[in-house]
Amino acid sequence: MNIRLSEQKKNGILWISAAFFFAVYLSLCFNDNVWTDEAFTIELLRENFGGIVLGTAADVHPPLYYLIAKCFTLVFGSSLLTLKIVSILPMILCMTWGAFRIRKLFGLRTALLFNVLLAVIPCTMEYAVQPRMYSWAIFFITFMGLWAYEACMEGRTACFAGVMLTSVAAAYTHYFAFVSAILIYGFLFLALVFTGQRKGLLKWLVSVVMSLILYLPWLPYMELQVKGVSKSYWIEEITGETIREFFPFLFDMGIPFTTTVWMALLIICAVVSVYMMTRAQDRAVGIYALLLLLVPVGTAVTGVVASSLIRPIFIVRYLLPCMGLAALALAITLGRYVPKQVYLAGLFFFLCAGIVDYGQSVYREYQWTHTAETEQFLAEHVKENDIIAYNYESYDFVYDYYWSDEEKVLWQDIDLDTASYDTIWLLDTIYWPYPTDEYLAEHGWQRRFMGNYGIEHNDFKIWAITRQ
Amino acid sequence: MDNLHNTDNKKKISLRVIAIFVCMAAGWFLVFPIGVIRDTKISRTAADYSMNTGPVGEVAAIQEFVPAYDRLQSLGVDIGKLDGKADQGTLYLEFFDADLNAFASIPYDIHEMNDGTLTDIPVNLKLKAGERYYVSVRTEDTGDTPPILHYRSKSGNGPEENLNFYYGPGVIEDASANIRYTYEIPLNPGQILFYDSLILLAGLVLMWMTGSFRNHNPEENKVI
Repeated sequence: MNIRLSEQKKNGILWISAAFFFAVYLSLCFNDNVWTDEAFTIELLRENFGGIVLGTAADVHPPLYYLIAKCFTLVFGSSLLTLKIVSILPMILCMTWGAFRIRKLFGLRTALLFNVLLAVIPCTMEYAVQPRMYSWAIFFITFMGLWAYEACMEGRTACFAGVMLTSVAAAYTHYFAFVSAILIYGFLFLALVFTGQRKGLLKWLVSVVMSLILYLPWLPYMELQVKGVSKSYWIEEITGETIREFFPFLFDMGIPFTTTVWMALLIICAVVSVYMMTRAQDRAVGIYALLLLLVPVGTAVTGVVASSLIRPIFIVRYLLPCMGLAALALAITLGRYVPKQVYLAGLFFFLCAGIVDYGQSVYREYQWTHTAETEQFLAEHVKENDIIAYNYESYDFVYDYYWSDEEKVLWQDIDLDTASYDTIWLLDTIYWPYPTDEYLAEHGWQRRFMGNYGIEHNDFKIWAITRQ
Repeated sequence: MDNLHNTDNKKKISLRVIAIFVCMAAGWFLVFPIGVIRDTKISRTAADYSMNTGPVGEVAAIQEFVPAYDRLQSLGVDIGKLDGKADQGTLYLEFFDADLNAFASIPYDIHEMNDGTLTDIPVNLKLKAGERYYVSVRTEDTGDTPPILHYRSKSGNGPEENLNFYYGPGVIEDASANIRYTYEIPLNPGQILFYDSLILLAGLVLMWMTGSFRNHNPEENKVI
């Protein structure tokens, strides 16, 4: 049976898949959990545009994501839900605008498979709903990869302009997206050289020069950040064990063999790419698929080498910007030659993988932390003349998200002899300064254990500390 | 002759398809209901300041517990090596039922254990969820200095499994050994579907590669 689908129906299938995954992502957004990096985003977005640029310059990432998020908050308000939707948006752009381009270039099979894969690759679901820059970096790098292919195959100036704009956007979003963009530029150059496209090479050169010019304003800040990071940074040394752990981080779904299954799929993808290169009519697509796979590999190698030369600056989540390219490589190769029975079984399998992923994400977003209980407990117990105290100073800006400066204080800053609070509700993160019964008694206070609570990655005990 | 040849081919393909289906069915059966692949579930104490027992040499530390699931894959134990002085010998996890009948003894090389953090010791025991058991921690051949065991206050810290904690014959009040229970649990329906769909995909790929999908034209790939 051969089913011919109209253009409208083909587009409809892609719209439905994108709408479905939007609903899936959205269902993961109705919580109030933030971890350190998300709290940093929220804190930074309280600044104006100039403050955001200066704030990011003092940090380790470029500013574009924060500026995009700021624009959205000006229109839609600065709730956590708004910020999460800002992160979902680029994923949905990949699944609509991106998927339509992919359909035009490689057919509906590839486009639909791309949408499903992008959504269900285990690491993407977690980060697509976080107020961080990763999903925007995925969007820019995926589109850069697509336009690079079109630039090489069709040579249109508009495609080179697309490559130039997305490369700059990626570089302004995350430094390892910048690395991926350089690799794509490099592969495009090689493709143009080997296909003898002189005009294309000229357009490539203009794109590169334009990209550099557009990036010039940020270079002084980047230099400062590189110097700062060279002196000290929080990432631990990269060892063989660290590199082995890259794979579970990207592909583990919490049940046996899942990393192995995904690795096997990537190997099959590489093998099919090579096979395609042996067939004259598929050679260009085969080379393209292989190069798509080489971008994350090259990014990881660059990160590891740079870490050994400067200091550890690379962690595996910096590969997230390349995950759209990995999904595209898998989609191009896995759906290419197989009959429709196998293709549909493949789609079904990936959707089942999505179910497992989704189960994990629901656990992570709604059940893993005690945030809701903590907020509820404190809302019920903290009265007017009470104060919330915390002893884990590094988590200051995470607590800032939940409580104002009038509602909370660092425990170490409290003078127990003069404090006039009725009750101090101490969030006691262990291994940090904490009060013993004897110490409190010396100052006329006593404590009562209220339970174990926590916020996202920070577990603590809550003590009610009152006058004796 | 051609018809005869075609009939032979069809028979061969039918046999191949049947053989592959049998393998797929066996795979599905192994995933569910046999359950050769299982998920894991971890239960442990909340973060807290640790306290020390005395040396767990001749005197054992004993944790009374009620497992939440039937299969205990490993037990995480947190010992202190006293600045590296207690780094030799063998640690024994001995399991007793509610009537104090010993039914398992698992040795572990102390040198291989972490100092001051949990070390997961594989036990692979079939227990009865909801029934009471005891696990005793003691050591042998440790020289002059046996290690100590870390415990935490019970109130609020869990894990839910832990009941009384003993050092020798005496109960330590409000104490709970710093233990991590790792269980093997059955897959949930979504996880079963994941493995079953993988087997389905593998089976169909095998059928395709052995030529069981006749008349497949790659040009058809332009539509689904």
